[in-house]
Amino acid sequence: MMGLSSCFKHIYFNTIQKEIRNKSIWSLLIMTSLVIIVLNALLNLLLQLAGEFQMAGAGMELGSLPLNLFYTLIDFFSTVIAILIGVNSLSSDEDSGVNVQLLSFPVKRWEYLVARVLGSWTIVVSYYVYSIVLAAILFSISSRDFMMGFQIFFGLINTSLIILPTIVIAILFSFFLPKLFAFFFSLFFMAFVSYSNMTFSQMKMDEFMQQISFMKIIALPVHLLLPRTGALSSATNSVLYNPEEPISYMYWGTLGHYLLSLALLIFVVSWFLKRRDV
Amino acid sequence: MNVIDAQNVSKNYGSSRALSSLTLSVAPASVYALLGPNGSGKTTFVKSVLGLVRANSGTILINGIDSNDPKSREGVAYLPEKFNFFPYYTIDGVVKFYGSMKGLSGSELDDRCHLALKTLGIDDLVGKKVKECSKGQLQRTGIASMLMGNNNLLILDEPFSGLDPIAIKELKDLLRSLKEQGKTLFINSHILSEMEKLCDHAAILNKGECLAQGELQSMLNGKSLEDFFYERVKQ
Repeated sequence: MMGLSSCFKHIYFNTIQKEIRNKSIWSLLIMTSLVIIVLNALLNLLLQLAGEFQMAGAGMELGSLPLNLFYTLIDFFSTVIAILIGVNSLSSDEDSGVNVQLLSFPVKRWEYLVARVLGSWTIVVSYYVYSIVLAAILFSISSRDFMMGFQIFFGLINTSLIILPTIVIAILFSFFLPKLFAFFFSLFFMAFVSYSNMTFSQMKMDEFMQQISFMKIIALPVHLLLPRTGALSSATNSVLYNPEEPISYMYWGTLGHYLLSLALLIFVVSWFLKRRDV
Repeated sequence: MNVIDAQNVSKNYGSSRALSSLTLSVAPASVYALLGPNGSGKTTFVKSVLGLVRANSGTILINGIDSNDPKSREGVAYLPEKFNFFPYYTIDGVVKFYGSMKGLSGSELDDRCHLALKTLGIDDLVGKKVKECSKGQLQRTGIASMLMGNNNLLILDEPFSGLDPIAIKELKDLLRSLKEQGKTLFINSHILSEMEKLCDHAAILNKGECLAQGELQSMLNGKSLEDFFYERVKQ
C-alpha cells in the first residue's frame, strides 16, 4: 500500500502558512469584499426605487439575480487566485532554493506536489467560502430572504472541485514558462477547457465529423483527458438559475470522469516533477 | 556496509559533462571531504546522492538503498551551500520544522530544538525571523537543523561559507564531536586548510573527474593537502 510519509502533513501546513502571506490573495480578497459591499448598497437603492414604483415582488427577483451574478464573479476571482497560487506554488520554492531542502527529506516528489496542491486548494476554497458567505449574508439582509440554499452549497462543491485541477495545471505550466506567461497561459487554457466541454458535452460523434475544424480537433483530447471544469460550471449555473430542475444524470458521469482525469493529471505533473533536477 | 557507495556516476547538463564515471565509497563514522575547484561537479554529486539530480548513468547507494528511493534519505541530513528558508519563519521555527520533518514531536521536539540551538550558540536568537538574520546566523540555523532527528549521515555543502573565524573553529569542534558520536560526515569544500585538519578521507574532483581519492594521509604521502591538490588539478 502506497502510504503517505510523515513529511506530507508538514509540507501541507507549510503551504498554508506560505500562501496565507500571499499579498495578491489579500488584495483580491479586499477587492472582492468591497465589490460585494458596494454592489449590495446599489441593490438596496434599486430595491427602494422598486418599492417607490410599487413593483410588487420585484425585490425578491432583484435580490436573487445579483447573488447569481456575484456567484459568477466570485467564481472567476477564485479561478484567478487558484492560477496565481498554482503558478507560484512550486516556482517560489525553486526561486528561494527551499525546494532543495524540502526534497532532501525522505519525501516522494508526488507527495511534495500533492501537499503543495492541497495546501493551495485549502487557501483558495477558504477565499471562495468567505466571499460566498459574505455575499449571501448581505443579499439575505437586502432581500429579507435567506439566500444560503442548496444551490449555493452545490456551487460551493463544484467550484471546490474546479479549483483543484486549475492549481495543478498552473503548476504544470510554471515548470516550462516564466511566472507571468504561465499565469496568462493557464487562464487562457482554463477558458479553452471550458470551451471544449461546452462544445462536446452536447455533440454526438457524427455531428463532430460533419462540423470538424482545427479548434475542435485540439479541443477533443482536452475534453476527453482533462477534468471537465466547464461541465461542472455549467451544472452549477443550471442549478442556480433553474433551482426547480433536478440535477442531470450527466453530472454524475462528469464527477466520475473528474476523479479519473484528475488522477491522470496529477500523475503527469508528478512525472515531470520527478524528472526535474533541483 | 558503506554509508555511500557510488559506482560509475555520470551526469550531463546538455552537452556539458558535470560528472564522469565517478566511483567512491564512504565508510561509516568517517569524515570524507569532496574537494575541487568551483564547477568541478562537487554539488552535482551531492545532489545526486540526495536524489535531487538524476544521474545519466551509474548507481548510488545510501546505507544500501538506491538514492532515487526517498527511504535512502531517512538517516540523512543536508546543509546546502546557501541555507535559506521562508523569511517569516523564526530561527527556532526552522529548527522545529526540520525536527518535525524527521518525525519528532511534542516535548522531544522542543528539547532537541533547544539543545541544537544551544550547541550552535544561537539560543539567544529564539524568536528572530529568518529575514532578520545575518548569513552567519542563517548558516548556524542550518547546522542546528541538521542535528534534529537520528541522522547517521550528515552532508554539508561548503559549511564554512559565511562564517567568521570563531564560528569556523566552533563548527570544526562540533563536526569532530559528531564524528566521535559515530556520525558520518560528507563535506564539500574548497577551503583546503580547514578540511586538512578535519577529514580522514578525501576525493579530489576536477571537471567532473576524480583525480585522486582515499585515506588522506596515505594519499598525501607527506605533502600538504594544498600542494597535493594544486599538483593534481594543474596536471
